[in-house]
Amino acid sequence: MESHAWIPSLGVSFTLGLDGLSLLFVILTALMGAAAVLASWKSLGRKVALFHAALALVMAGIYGVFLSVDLFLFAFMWELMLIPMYFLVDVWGGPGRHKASVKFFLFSQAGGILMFVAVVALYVLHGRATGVYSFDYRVLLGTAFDPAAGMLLMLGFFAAFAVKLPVFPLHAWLPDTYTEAPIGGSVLLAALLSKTAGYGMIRFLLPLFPDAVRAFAPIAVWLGVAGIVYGGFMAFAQKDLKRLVSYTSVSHLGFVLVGIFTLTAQGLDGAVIQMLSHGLGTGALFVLVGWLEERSGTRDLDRLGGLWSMAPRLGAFGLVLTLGLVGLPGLGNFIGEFLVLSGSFHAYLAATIVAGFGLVVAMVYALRMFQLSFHGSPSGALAVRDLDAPQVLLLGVLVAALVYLGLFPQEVLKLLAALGASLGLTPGVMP
Amino acid sequence: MSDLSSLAIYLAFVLIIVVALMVVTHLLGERHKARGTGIPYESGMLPTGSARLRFPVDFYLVAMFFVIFDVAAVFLFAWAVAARESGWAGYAAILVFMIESAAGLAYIWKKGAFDWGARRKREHLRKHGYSS
Amino acid sequence: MSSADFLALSPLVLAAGGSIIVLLVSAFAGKRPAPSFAAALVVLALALAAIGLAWSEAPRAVGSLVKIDGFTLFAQALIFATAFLVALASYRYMAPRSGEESGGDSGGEYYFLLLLASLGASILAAATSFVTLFLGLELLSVSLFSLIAFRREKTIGAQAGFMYLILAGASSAFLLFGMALAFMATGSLKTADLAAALVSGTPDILVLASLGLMTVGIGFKLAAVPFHLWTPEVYDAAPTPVTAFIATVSKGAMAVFLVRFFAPSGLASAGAYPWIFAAVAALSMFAGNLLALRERRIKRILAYSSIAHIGYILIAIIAGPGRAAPTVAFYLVAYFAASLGAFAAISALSQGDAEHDGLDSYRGLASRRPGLAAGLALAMLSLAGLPLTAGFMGKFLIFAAGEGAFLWVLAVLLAVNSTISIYYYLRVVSIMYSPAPEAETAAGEAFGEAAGATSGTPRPRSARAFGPAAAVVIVAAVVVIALGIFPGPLIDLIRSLTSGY
Repeated sequence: MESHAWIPSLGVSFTLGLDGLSLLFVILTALMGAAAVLASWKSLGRKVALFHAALALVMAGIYGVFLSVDLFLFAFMWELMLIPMYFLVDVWGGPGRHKASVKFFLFSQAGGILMFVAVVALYVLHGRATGVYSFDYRVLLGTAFDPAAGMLLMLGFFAAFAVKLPVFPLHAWLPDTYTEAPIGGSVLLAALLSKTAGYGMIRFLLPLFPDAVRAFAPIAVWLGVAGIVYGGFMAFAQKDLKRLVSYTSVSHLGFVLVGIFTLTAQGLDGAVIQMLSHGLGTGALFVLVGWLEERSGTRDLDRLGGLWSMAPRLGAFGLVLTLGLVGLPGLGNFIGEFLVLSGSFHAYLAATIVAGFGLVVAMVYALRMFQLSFHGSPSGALAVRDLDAPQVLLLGVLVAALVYLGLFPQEVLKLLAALGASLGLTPGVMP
Repeated sequence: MSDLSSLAIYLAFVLIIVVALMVVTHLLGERHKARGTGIPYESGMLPTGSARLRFPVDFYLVAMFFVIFDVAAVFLFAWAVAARESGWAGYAAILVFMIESAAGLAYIWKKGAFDWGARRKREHLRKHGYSS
Repeated sequence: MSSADFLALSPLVLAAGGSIIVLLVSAFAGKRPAPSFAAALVVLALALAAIGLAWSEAPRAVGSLVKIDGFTLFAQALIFATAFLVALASYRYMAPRSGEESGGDSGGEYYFLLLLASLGASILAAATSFVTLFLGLELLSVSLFSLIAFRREKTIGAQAGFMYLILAGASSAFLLFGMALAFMATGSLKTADLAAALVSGTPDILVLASLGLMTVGIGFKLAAVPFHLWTPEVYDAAPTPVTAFIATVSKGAMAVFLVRFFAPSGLASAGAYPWIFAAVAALSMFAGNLLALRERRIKRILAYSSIAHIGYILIAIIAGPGRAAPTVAFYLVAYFAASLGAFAAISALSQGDAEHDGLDSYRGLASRRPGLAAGLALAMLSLAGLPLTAGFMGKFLIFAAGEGAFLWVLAVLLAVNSTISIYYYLRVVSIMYSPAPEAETAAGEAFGEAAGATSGTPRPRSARAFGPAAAVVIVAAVVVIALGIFPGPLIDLIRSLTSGY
């Protein structure tokens, strides 16, 4: 816990704190941040220094989000992530980068500013009620509202998180942005930025507005389920490899939303593990796809094929990560999805069944993707170099982390145990 | 509200008079539709050239300076009748005012605003190819 | 008038006396603007220093005409400092006209008019009576329309100046008529008496009419919707530094007056008045931001954005006593810094005869003039209210003020608008940082000094060198970032200065 006065007359302080939940995400950030830098080592071409400056600024914002204890600081960091991220996509992205970056920014900004309104409203209401004007999380915790106000404030926060996660109807920016972003950018977007939303929900939404969250939970769970199924079907229909992976993210992050809003300890644990494994797995997958595009010059599934024989190391990683998408036991995603579904089983049986159906869809799109790109034969001349040693090392580390998460989830859950209790959630059956 | 009603009556009269004047002139005024009505000077002189002549704006300047310094004089008179009563403070105020006017005068003098006499005109003519 | 009164008014006295001196300098010191420029800078610096003298006498009401207190002095300091920077940014921009085409004039009157306009604005910021309100306003307006039309060789400038003259005249007429009605109803020329009459139970219809008429005059100066129509034309046609002055000083002074009129009187929470101003605020925000979306010229974009910003400021004004003054004061500093940075960057780019206005001419600016591009980008981000810039803190304070007064709807509208606004601010930034079309084709040449010379329009060497306008960009950038990270000291200062509001 580190605290400095920032704007004392308004009750704003520069307070950072680290607990189990933050720690997990800070580690993920460090890992994926390094991966983003290494992955884009060769592919920039121009304005390299500026790229890394922007990347570092995004990282600073993300660390800030995961560590802020002061709500003003949190909102500040939340918006801080956006600008350099916008530049990453806008300056170094693919051909459709201008449209994609603006879309990303407008969606995120709309959500972020609504949250900012809610933060200030929370500050004002708490100040009126108690006479203590402060943005400190610990002070604001347990503020009592009348139900309508609580619901509106909760929705304000939810808007920001829902855009970032993204929750089903607000995901429209995601496929474009993920697809157009440069490798480093899409790694950051997929692996980290979406996690800030899940983190925000667990850290701020649940404890600050318990009543409103309880009332809103069924809707949120169904939105999550909708995201799972919709993302799955859309992924199935894609021809662009990067777009396909983007839609799988919509699907996987739907599990996160379901997990959080089951309001059970397993659901929450599952959501966290799902986020970590999605960060590692999808992050690695974006690295892989980025490299593949560099080598082959295309992301079109129709033109790809036979990669396995051309580049066995690339193929091997592709296989592992694809299995991760499916939720193979032994990898992190399995634990995450399993915990989420077992958490939602009692309260939302129907939703659980539909979400389980989503897993089947995942199987189909993942296998289709693997089939089309790594097996068969390419439709044209395609020459792909295999991965070199540093690249193997990078992906190896990420996959190792994913396996660790799948084999020893207790280590992670232990860190989280304290958290679930402090949020006052119903204790789960699982250890 | 009586002050307002008087205001309203006043306004109404203003409107009535304006409208009446326009209507009456429209009704009573003479109108010609002869061949030469549209051109200036109906009496037979056909106009030549454009009406948009460039002419020196010296007269305009004279008029403007007259207004400016006339207003200055108005202030001086207003001070003069109350010079004793307003005391040194009033004197200081009018002095500042006079200095400012003098500065303005110096500025326009330097800028050549008073050079509108024969010399300037001769220069102008010479520049345009007339010999004096 | 006692000597204490003189001390309290010393900034105004210095500016007034100094402006006369600058006028004489411009006429008698040769054919170059440099002496007038230097004299104007000295006068502005002295006036700024005199704020310290006046502070020793504050708070002090001089007659019923002006009130010199912390808030006034803060506003005056801001006005003089901004005028100083505007003068700096003008020097090269206005320089070409001192050549032969201007008929041998030095062009030094520009600085005289700038001084006079700042004097008018500072009087406006201190006004507690209709007399001083009108005096300040007219001083400002008359100087401004001369400034707008200052480059006589350009027809468009003269046109805009004329437009401003007529509209300012009309709005002054409304204002005067409003004052006359107020005097008729209350028998006083003090603004506070009108405010008192307005909040007292059932105000006379004369009082209401007076407020309505005066709203026209005030709204015109603020360029709030529906009195904003002049803004894009005038912004576009005026010399860029003058545009900066209009956007900042002219509007800011009126906003300060409005705070002084509204905040202490309780007018902000009485009857229908807040509704009227809330409607104006909402309309200004939406009109400004939506109209800016379609613009392709940067000065017009900034014109519309300034309309939107006036809407934001009005929210803070409606928020009422205790909140309005500190919020507006801080927001003005943030907004002034960002606007100055933007306009100074445009001025620095537009030296010589080519006005750098169309958005397309900004394409690839980041590779040609990275420093100016960064300054302009920072200004845009601050105007958009993104974190690490002063604009974010300003917007935060407006949210805090608005929500503190339970203006939820306005707060949400502000949120919506700030999202809309980001689109066009970012477009400017995005265009600057995308490669210029020539540079893309000549990829081999895209590095080193050659790229700057081949891409874009060639400019004279002198325009590329570091000039005073670039210095203003740097100052503005420093202020924007400093306030974006450490707003605390300034907020505390403002709070202590505005404790009476």
